[in-house]
Amino acid sequence: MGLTKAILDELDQIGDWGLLATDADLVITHWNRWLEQRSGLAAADVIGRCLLEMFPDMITRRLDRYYHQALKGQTVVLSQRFHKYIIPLPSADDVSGHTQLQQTSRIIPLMEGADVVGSLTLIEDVTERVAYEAELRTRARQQAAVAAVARSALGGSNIGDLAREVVGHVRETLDVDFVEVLELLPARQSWDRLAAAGWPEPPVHSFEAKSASRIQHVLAPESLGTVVDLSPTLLRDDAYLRTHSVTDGLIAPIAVGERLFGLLGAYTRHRRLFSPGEFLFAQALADVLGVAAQRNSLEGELRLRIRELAEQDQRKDEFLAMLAHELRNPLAPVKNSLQTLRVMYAKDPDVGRLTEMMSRQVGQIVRLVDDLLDVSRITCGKVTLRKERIDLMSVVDQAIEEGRPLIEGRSHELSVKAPQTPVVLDGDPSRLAQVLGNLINNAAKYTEEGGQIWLEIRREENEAIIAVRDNGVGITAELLPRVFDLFTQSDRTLDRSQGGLGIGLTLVRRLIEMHGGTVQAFSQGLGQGSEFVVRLPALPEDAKVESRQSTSPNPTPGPSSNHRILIVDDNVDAADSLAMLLELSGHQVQTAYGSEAAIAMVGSHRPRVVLLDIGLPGMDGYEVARRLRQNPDFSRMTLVALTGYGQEDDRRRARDVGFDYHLVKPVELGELTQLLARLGK
Amino acid sequence: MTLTDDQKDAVTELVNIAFSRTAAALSELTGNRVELTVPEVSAHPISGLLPALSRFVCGDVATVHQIFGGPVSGDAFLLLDVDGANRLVDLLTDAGAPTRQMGSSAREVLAEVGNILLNACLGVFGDLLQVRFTFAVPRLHLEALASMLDSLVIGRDELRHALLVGARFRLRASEVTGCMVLVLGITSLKLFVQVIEEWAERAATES
Repeated sequence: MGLTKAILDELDQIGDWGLLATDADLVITHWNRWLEQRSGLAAADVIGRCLLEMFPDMITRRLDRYYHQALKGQTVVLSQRFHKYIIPLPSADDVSGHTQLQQTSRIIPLMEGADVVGSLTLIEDVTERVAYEAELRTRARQQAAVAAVARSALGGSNIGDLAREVVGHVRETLDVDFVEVLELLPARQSWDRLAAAGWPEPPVHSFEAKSASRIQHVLAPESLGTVVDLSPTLLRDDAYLRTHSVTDGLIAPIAVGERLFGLLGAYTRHRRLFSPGEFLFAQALADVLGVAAQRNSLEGELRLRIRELAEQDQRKDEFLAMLAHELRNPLAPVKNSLQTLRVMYAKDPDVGRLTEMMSRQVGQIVRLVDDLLDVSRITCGKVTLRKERIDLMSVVDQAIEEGRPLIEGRSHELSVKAPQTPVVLDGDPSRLAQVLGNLINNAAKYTEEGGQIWLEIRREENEAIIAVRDNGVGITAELLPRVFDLFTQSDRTLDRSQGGLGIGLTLVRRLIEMHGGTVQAFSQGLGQGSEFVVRLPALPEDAKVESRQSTSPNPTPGPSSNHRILIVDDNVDAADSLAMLLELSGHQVQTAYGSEAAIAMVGSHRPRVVLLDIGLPGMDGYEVARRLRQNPDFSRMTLVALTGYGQEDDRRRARDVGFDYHLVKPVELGELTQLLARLGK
Repeated sequence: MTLTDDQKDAVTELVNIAFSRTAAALSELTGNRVELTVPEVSAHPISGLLPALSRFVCGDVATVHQIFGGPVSGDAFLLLDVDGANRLVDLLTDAGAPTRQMGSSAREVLAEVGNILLNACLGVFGDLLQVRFTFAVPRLHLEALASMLDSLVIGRDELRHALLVGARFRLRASEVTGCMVLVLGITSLKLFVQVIEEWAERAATES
């Protein structure tokens, strides 16, 4: 293609590019205005000169071979990425970092017919584009680095590991010589180096604050949140950086809220202009470090709080257990005394009425203490269920019987609806009776006198449902979600004399949950009554309740069985009151208030029965029992343990040391009387 | 039209010469050792080209297209699928992690790589045919493979055939596979094959 001036002028008009034409000998025949402006060489000074003589570095850079290719008829593409430029032209751009104009070129053969008569080089200035692409790549790397560090922070990396990851990214992405992350230690007097990269010596810890001006700088409150380019003054005053020939750098304060945590520093040995993007990058990493440090600190506090709460909870449980146990002790003599008075003044109606009232109140206290102990034991996992196959109605009947005095006392009407066929399940009968008794008791307590209570038992597929409903005071919407929480009570009770500690429903829920069931409370609000629905796993419809062999001895008393009894208890009132009660029943009773005295009295008086308190000071009841059993003379003696604890472990321990029976204080007279009646002489 | 085994061998040998020159040029440009091998050679009518190409490229393809003219005229292509093209550019220019988008600089690099390869091949064929080809400026396209093939037949009257040469670039323990395609009219292709056979016979006689 022959290239006329008209065509070249046309090409000049339609594009912003350099146009360089040569003949077949590479003598320059055209040098357009674009090239004149950028090279400072006028066309008149260039045209007629050999291209390779004008620009000898083309030969050095082996670009001449491309021209020879073109002169053989091949079109040549020269990309900026491979060649940077074809003709050395100074860059007018101060910020791109390139001193030469970055160029992309095409070398096209000029043809006349089948002959190559020259070449045309078309040159584009891509300096700006190259700088832009480099900036994009840098930003992509920075974003990837920040994302990676953020992911590590969210994944729970500790601050040390995170700092090490950050210095790696900073060194690589910012292309600096040294990087460090410092942490300000308490009292703001010294710093610890958490991570470092590029320093020739091993990381140095514990910088003194006053010895490093870069550190002094970030201590200033106004520097918080600002990335700083290191000034010559700051560098000059920082001896540590000077020794490492640092001439430039930036530092980003790491903040945890309003508090300075540390700094991220990046330093170079050569003069370097950091771009706004690089400042933002350093700030982003410092922010991630700050958030991670805050999170680590909060997690540490949280762990501490959790530990403290767990310890408090344990102490509370231990206190409750101790409290309940201690409260039982004074109740035993009170109960014994009341029973003694009832027997002594059986014919006096006034005394009878008073003792009855006091017995009721003592019974209430005993129940409260038992509930307190129960909730504490359940919380500590010390309660085990004695499950057996039971007919649910037997439990309901027992609960109704226990609640009848209160129901009748408040003139409530109780309606019971139950299925024709038994609902059989695996459960602890006494604990389930306790649960139902609690619900029935609550219904009676929190319903105005003359109210109604409905009790429904039904089966739904493989569940046994027990619903206790009343038309009483109801439960507010605010209280409903918390009604099963420990110590939660309504502020408005009908009759404060009914009292309560707010333990009962907590016990109900825990015992039901131990059975694998659920309990829910429903109420439309104050004055709208309440309903409690218990769901328990039921056995299949064809399941049968095994007939139980009565394990208790013949309940009818045997022949007259007055015994020689020794009561051993360090609580004098408890021992004396029980002795008085048993003497009224016709027994011969001695008392001993300590373990040594007990052993001596057994030897001297040879009692038939020893009622032995376990919690004796010094040598406890277990040890006394063990010693007594070592003497074959006492083999026919009945040992009865009196203890505040009725768990299976306690009973087993008592059996192991030789006790025959185990009674829980305060002892029920009826239970003790039955036991004594069963014994022979 | 299909190639006989001998014809395939001959074309393969010629293309290998061209690929060696290409590899040498790329090695010098990049400072990395670049190898370029020919996995296979085949000839296809345009209508049957898509399934053959699908063994080397799929989806969207980056195509360096160079029209050549002279006694034998046609279209020369270097095809890479876009992911492969990005990887090749990044490997050749030490760009680090591969980028998903092909920017302007990357396109230029690919155009230059295609230009070097196609010039080398056409140069070898031109020497063989003792003709001088004329070359248009190579153009880079990014498009679906089917669209690229459509552009080969639109507006053409003559039945066209394609010589398909697989190309495997190896550098820095990585490999990128593409293919070179020479699309010729039936007349040009027959002349091309005839000259190839004559060369092969001469080479056999001389050895």
